[in-house]
Amino acid sequence: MSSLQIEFEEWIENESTFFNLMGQDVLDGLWFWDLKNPKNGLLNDAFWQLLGYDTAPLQQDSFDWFSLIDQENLLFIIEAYNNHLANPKQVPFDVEVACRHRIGYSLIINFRGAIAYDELGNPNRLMGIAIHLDKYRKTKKQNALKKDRYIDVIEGVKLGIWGGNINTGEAFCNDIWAEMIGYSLAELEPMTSQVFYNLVHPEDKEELILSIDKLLKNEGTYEVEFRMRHKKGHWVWIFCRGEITAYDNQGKPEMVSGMHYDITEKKANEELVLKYKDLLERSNEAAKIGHWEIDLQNESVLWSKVTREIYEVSEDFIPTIESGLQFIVEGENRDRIVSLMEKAAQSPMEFKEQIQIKSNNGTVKWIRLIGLSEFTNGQCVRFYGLIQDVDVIENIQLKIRLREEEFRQSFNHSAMGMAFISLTNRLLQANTSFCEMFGYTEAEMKNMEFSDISHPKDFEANKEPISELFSGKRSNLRYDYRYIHKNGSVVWTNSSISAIHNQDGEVMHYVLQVLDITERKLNELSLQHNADLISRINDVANIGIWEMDLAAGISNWSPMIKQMAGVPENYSPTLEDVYTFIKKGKHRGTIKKSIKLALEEGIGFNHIIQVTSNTGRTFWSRIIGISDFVDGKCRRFYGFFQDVDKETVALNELAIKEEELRLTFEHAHTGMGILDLNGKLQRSNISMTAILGYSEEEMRNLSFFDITHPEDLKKTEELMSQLLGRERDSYKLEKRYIHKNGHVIWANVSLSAVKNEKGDFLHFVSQLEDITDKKQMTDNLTEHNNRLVNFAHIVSHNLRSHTSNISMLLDLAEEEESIIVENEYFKNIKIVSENMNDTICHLNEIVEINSKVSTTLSSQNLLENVRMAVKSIESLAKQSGSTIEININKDLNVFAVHAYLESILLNYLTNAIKYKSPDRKHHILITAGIEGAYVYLSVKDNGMGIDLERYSAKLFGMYKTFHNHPDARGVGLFICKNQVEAMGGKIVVESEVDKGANFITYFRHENN
Amino acid sequence: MKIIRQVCIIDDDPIFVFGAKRMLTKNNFCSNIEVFTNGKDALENILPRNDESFPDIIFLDLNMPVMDGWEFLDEFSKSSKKCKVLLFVLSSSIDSVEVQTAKTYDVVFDFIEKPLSKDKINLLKNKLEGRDL
Repeated sequence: MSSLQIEFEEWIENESTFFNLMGQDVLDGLWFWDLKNPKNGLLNDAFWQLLGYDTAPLQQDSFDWFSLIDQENLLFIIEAYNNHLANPKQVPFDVEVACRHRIGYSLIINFRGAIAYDELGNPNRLMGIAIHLDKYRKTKKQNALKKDRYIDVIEGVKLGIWGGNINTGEAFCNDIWAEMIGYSLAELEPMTSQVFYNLVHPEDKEELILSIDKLLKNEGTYEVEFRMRHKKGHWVWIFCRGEITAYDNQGKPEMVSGMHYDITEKKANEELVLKYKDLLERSNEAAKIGHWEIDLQNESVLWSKVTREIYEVSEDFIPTIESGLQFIVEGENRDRIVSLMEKAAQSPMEFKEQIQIKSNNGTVKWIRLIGLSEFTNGQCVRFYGLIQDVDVIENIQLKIRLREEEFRQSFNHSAMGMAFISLTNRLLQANTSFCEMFGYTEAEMKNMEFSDISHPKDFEANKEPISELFSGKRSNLRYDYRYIHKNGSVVWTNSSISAIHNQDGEVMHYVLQVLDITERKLNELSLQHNADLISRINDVANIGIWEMDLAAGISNWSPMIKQMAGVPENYSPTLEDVYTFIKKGKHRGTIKKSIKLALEEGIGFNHIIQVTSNTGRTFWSRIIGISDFVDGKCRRFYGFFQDVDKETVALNELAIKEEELRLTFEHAHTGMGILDLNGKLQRSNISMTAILGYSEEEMRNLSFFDITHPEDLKKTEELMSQLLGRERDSYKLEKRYIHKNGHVIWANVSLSAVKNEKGDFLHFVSQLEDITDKKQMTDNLTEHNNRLVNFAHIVSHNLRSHTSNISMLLDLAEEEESIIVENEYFKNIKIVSENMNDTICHLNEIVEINSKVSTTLSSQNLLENVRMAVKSIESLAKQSGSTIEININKDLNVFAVHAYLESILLNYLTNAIKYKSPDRKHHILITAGIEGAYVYLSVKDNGMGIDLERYSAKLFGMYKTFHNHPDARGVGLFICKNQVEAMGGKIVVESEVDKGANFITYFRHENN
Repeated sequence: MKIIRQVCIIDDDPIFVFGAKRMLTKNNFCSNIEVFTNGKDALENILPRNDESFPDIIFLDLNMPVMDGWEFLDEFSKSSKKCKVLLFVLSSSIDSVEVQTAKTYDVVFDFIEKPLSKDKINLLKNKLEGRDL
């Protein structure tokens, strides 16, 4: 590179003016050409890179300079060189040629250079710079060859060419441009942009100017279609494309040029097509005619908008031949179309079919399908045709046909008589029933008047409304009407007549419908006739009848009454006599008053009152009195008498029972409620209200779930659903409710079904016991117990570790310095330490009893346990001369912890022996039995006894002794009491000083 | 009976440790006694050892800070070396539940109630008599 560089620098020095003109940054390459040996060329790195070569290998060798140049363009180079050589000062070497890029495409490069001379003044090399023109403004391109080619093309395709200076408004165009609008170039001179604009269609001018503006701003090409006026006056459609072709020295666009193309014909066709298409679509839409097309060559299917509407598919639906067929209702319809299509594919034909399709939304409808097949070279290439929704038309026609048929059928065969009556009240047509109903033929009746077959009474009565109908005042009429049959009998009917209007609202004729109700009517009449009689017979079936002989003033009784009253057969009481049978007071008063009313005003009565027979039997009876009153006077007074004692008494008793129950229910201490089978509250008592705080009314609107504590809801729902599902008859549950005031209430709830004699559920009875207090106590107890456990822990761990350390240390001291044992302090400390150990053990034991008992309770045979205990103190008893008597049933079991039971028994026995009286022979009696829910065990001795008045409060306290006995430690009873209580029992002591003591222990029975 | 080379006491009570050391030495049970004041220290120290220096007997207290006796038992039970040692729970607890629970562990040879005394040590010696460690 160095030789080139040196030479080039020299050249730059010589030609600095030129070089400076170019500016450093426009250089794309440097080149060197040996004139004597053109193959000995050189390019710099930048130039090589521009041409797409890797610089390294090529740099070394010289190369054929001309090989880079497009062979067609070599001429230009030679020409430029010769021109330059001829006049180097005036004509610079400046040429644009195409160079081949390594990949094969051409780059337009501007070579500028100058000849260098050797020492002798002979030209020996040409060198210069290269500028890549494609990169810069295309306006700088003046490739003559290309231009010529363009001109050829332009001529060939009838392109109009134009150009213009934006700043000056000067413009130019070619002759084709002018010819397009019927002018010669000369006619348009002087050509300016104004001349051009004047020729543009006023409607298109705005858009044209707008797009030129856009072009100037965006530096792009522009394309626009517009109309220009032809010299002959018509409009020519022009397609125009343009671009900026030159910029002024400020870099602003200066020249715009482009081409014109006459598209009038195309435009006209387009418009025509659009117009026809629009017209077709519109008419098709109006007639609901869609078109379709199947192109067999691209296998594409086209459906128009209306076709899509008919098939009820969206715009995006892509139809295929298969999907088109799928829409056609399967079976006959589809098969026909398939066979037609197959046929049409064989030879050109046209078909027209009415078929049913099932649209995309599942609607079944009638369509008319028209199809044609199109053939090219004997090959079917296309199906196309029309589709029309004819469902509405088809349906209506179908319906009308059906209606007519229906009507004809019903008219002819209706059991109801039907006839058409003309405006002049003549029969037009009658059906079979109508004719049969009256016994005439249709022909006979056509010649008769309406009045001829009418019952005269009804004809008169309905004359007015019927004439109103005919005069148009009313449109229909319904009436009960009697006709006369041909045979003279009366025909009872329900008739209706209504006017039939045509479309314009005028009456065409009338329809008369007649229903024969003769039979029914006759039945009705006879029924009414008999009803009175029947009801009376029914009424008197089981009761006595009485009738007052108004004239004689006596009452005649039927034998049954006489029997009931205990009077002889011939007994005929006066009214006063009758009264004596009625219970005095309210009852008798009622009857007297009622009889008076019956006789004077004809008012009947019906009383249940007490009467007393002659035999002295007082019973409840029903007395009914009926007074036939004619013209304000009582003609007949009679009635019935019935013994209703049993029913009445039962009823009264029931009432009392119910009242009792009601009171119990109302005032029971437990909350009670009655729930229906859906679990809804029907009734509740006062306690329920008191417990839950809601009134009965409020509770009816609540369900028990609403007031149940959320945590108990699941449990309750489970049980309730079992109950409602008849899986169980009742349940008991301890659960919480929320009181109206928000408090939590613990309750024992029991719900049980009440059943009738068949075992069906009638309703539920709910019982609710407030156990909040108890629950609170249990809670407290639990908490207390927890504290005990904590305490136990402290005792068994913390305290113990200290005491055990002390005793260990004492042991060590004793061992190591035996002399210390003699020390009084040491002795005492040792005793204290041992005592402390014992105390802690006791404490721990008691705490353990209370906190752990529930897990170890089991059924224990009492007798066996007592015998074991007695056996283990046998020697002790023998020593003290005690006798022990056991009297316990061998089957008696208690619920206890074995170890506790043993310890309790031993405690009692050793205590008894320990505190025997020195004055008597010691005796212990052990008995047991059941008392309520408990089993009691009594250990009775005749020893020293305990002064209960003084000590009863402290008897079971820890470290309490009441005797100066050397072995009295005061722990035994304390532990006993704790153990017994932990097992759910209790201890009772009976004692008299110097008489003895009886320790009675209550255990829980094994079953409880 | 094999000679008891090494005894390990795990207990945080210095007075007890003092007394226990004294008693064990005096009664010729063992004189090589190491002490850890909590389960964690003991575990970390003992487990990595080889058989040679592994303690023969462990006296384990239950109530301790950091890692108490129960946790120690849980961890130690997982160790493969648990069979190499005789473990005694040595506690002042007289809670029957705790005594029972302690005995449910495989690794626990016995439960000894504090205080440690001459009699208890002799009893222990007798128990270990003839037993191969």
